[in-house]
Amino acid sequence: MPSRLAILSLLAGIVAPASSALAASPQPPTPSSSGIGIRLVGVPADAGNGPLANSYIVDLLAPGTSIRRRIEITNNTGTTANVAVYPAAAGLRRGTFGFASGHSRNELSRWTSVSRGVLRLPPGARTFETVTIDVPKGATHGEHYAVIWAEVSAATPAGGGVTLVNRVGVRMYLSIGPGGAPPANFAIASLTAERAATGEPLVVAKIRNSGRRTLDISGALTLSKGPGGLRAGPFPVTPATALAPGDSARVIVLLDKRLPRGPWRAHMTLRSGPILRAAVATITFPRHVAVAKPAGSSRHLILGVLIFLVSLAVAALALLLSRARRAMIGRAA
Amino acid sequence: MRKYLLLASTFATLALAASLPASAADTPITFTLDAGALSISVPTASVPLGSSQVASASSHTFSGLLGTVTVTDDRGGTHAWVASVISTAFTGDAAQTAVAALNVHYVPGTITVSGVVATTPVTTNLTGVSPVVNGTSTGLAWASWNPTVSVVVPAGAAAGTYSATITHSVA
Repeated sequence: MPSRLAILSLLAGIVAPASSALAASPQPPTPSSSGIGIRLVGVPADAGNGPLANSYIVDLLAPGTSIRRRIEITNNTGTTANVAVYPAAAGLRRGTFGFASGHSRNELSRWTSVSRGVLRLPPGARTFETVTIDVPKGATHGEHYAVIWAEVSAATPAGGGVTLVNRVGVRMYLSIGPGGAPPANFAIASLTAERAATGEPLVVAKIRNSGRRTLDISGALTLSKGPGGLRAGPFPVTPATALAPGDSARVIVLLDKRLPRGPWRAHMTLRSGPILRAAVATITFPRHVAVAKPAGSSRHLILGVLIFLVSLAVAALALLLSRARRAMIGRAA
Repeated sequence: MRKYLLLASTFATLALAASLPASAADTPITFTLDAGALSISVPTASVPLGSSQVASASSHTFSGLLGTVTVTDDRGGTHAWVASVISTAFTGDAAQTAVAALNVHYVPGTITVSGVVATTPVTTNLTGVSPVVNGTSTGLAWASWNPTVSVVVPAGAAAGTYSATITHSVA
């Protein structure tokens, strides 16, 4: 009956398994700047903004001023690409830089304009765009975040399915203040050993951004003086953590399950631009609580024995009661 | 050749003068190398997820591979990047009820990397911009994955052709 059945189609016409439609080789060849690229060019080499300023638009501006930056957009594909270039809102929450959807706006993206919104790039072509940030007089003090996006899209399907849009961007960390570079600083509050629920040992550093600039923290951990004089590392801190002024975060290094518990001498170095902080601690990883089968099966065994004992007691009680009743009946008769 | 140049860009500004003993005769030599680009592959075609005859009494899941997404990071040095995904609702061709992005799920699958430490945060659905791959690049690096997207079409959905837009954002 047609009303009982709904014919749903995410593709009109061709019904093809998606995997065969996308028969790509499982191991992609080493890509060398494939696709659409975006980069900052001609960054003014002024002090205070740190190495981050080579890849992101990082600056301190007073209200009522403006800056210009140049970005280069490249098409490293074999076909002509239509690229949309635009600023959109972004934010920083709990150490993670997050993007707003589509063309969503915030203060910074409203102040930002690009020279051309749409580019048509032949294969292998590159072009420059000027990004202008006009900070109004009434701009809010503090850190502002946005992204300059270069966006490409597949043609809209004629009959259902998924239209794919890919975009790549340059982050913008803009600090609005009355003048003078606000100091950047951070501190490692503690360095401890923990164990993940899945059993992997973790080294956790608690860090706090005590300065007034946004930080991008990366670093490494080295373990030494372990059991039998073992050394291990350096292990990278993953992922690199973005931290807003005043915020705290946990920087985690995930290690291999087979690593001995210790004690170890843990040496962690963390860096954000020119600021380098190190912490040293003697740590021992907590014992791996075997949550899986052994504990579970012994618990089942105990439960089984308990059930058996209870049923035995019930049976004994029933037997006693029936005997008592029989004795009473016998006495009555 | 280009690789070496780009590798040099790790140190975007090398002030050689700083490492030399300062004296009046010294000429400070400074040079600036621009960092390379951050790139994302270009989607070549829209992705069909198949069609199916579904009983209106039960829900049905459509799924398929979206095609390889490659992020190339030639910026040099250590850089973090985030790849996020958002989906619109799947809308039908007539005045039909749309399948909300709440019912769209994304699994990055195996991530092939070179010079990237990648982690995959847990993503429940694609209603908001959801981070799906967190990457930390060291030097010239790339990461590549072929995600699987699945759409749960609820029971009682109207027949028709549905389409949506899925956006990858990398910065």
